Amino acid sequence: MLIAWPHILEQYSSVAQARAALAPLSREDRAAALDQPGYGVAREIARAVPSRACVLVLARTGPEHVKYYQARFAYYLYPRKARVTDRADAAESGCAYLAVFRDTPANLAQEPFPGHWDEAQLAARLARLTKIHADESVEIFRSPEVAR
Amino acid sequence: MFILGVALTSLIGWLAIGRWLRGGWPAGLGLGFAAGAGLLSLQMLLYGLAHDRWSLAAILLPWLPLAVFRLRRRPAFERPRPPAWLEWIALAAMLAAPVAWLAYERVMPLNTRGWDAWAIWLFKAKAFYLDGNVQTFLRRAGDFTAQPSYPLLIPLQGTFLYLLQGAPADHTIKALSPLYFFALLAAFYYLASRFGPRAPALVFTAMLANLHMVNIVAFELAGYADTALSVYLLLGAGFLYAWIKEDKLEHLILASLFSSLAAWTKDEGLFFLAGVVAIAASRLLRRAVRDWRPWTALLAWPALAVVPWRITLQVFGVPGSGLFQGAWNLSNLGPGLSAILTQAAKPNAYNLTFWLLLASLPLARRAGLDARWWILPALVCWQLAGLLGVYLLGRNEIRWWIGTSLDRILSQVAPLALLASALVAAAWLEARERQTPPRVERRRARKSGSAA
Repeated sequence: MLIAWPHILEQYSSVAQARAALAPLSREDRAAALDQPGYGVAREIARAVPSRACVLVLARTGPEHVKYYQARFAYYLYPRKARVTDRADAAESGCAYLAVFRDTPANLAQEPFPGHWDEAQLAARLARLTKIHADESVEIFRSPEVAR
Repeated sequence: MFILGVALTSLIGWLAIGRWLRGGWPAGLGLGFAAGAGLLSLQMLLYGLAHDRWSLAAILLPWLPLAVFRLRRRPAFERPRPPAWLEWIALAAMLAAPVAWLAYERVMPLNTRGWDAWAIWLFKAKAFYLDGNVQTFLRRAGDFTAQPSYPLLIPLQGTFLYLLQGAPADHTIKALSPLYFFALLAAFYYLASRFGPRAPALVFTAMLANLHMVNIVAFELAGYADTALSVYLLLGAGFLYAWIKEDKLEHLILASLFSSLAAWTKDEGLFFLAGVVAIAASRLLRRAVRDWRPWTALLAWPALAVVPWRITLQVFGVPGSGLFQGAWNLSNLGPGLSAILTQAAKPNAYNLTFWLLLASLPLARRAGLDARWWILPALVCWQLAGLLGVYLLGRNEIRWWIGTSLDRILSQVAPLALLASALVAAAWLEARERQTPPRVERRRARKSGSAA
């Protein structure tokens, strides 16, 4: 107990802090607060993209964050197929929907973006698509071949 | 509905194995939960392969005749005697860490730490629930980086809870990890008190309840399968020891069941199952046992828990995890071994668990335990040797590999290591008690001495 006690005290204090921060929030708000901005972005994509479709997410974020968002979006968006890449010129490979997601400055400060991202080239690419959703964290586009 | 799901899981497990257990309701609840989760998930795998959609009625109805048969008489759990003062202290100490960790908010930071749990275990539970079977996901396995070849006990247990709740409520599957932690305590106490007095069993259970790394894996990394695996490793080894010690067929059945469920939980469990089957088979062969019953008891569960899943992977062309693939890289031996020993020796992670195990080795014989006790430390070493073997295969960069796996794997075997020490402590106390005359006799001896 003597060896375990410092950890237990630390845990009590950490729980008290977490409780103070999270107690007033609903479960959904807690998830959004802790999983910023993955949960909110996935929620918008899920609203805009049909459940059997494929969505390619162009993510301006660090390499470890790409893996993180790949796991998060796959989880939130199932049964949709979600593919996350940090290359703005990545091929659609049969995905009829495309989302452009720019990570928060805090996350980019933690892990700088090393990928390939040409804004002019991206704008030209997006001009050929139909924009179906836009907010401060994510823009979602649909290929014109998809029947409405 | 979540509580109903957990209660049904425990009940089904207890219906299956309760007749072979002795002890109070915590053992029935804890071991029943562990067995029930495994049996239900195996049942769901077989149904999920055969049918388009799962139905709760189809899953639960087959258990009804067994429930009627087993519950026709009121179950009689042993009524424990009231605890002595030392046992009260141990019980209070047992609650210290779980109470600190149990607050629901601790489950939420999983979002930002340990996201493998989402990517691997929770993801499949949700996919199976939404698809209504396992086939649809397996056909699309190439679309996801979700380690599709990993065993399915935890995902299917989650799917069962989702079916009861009618929605993929992921916070409930994360709560399974703390539940397995309590099952771990129940299982540990059951085994420790089965082979020794109650007081040391409670003291060692309290030590287990406060192991920092075991707490982290159970609560902070809720959603992973490691706590569940540690329950099955402990029970598999504990019942194997009981079978070797007492030679009762039911212990072999339980050892084989829980070891097979370890293999149905994680790939590390497959390695453990191989060790258990090798020890039991070598004992049966050495004694030239021709009776079919012990052989069936040993091999039926592995056949049920391992073979259908392996065939399924082949049929659907799902690539393996590649855990045991790669070229041998002997230069990893030094860093791998050194990391295992250094980490196991850290009191702030594993308390004195592995130090006590080390101290138990020379003391076991003096405490009156014979060679049979050695299968417990041998199985701990077997698991760690397996880990070292994986490091030597050099599939990943060794430092990254150690950083992401070692703590969790040590936490899987820590309960088993502690059980080995608990049995030595119990045997030593019992031997000491036998040598020391009871207090009444000592008082009489003193009185007669002074009268003389």
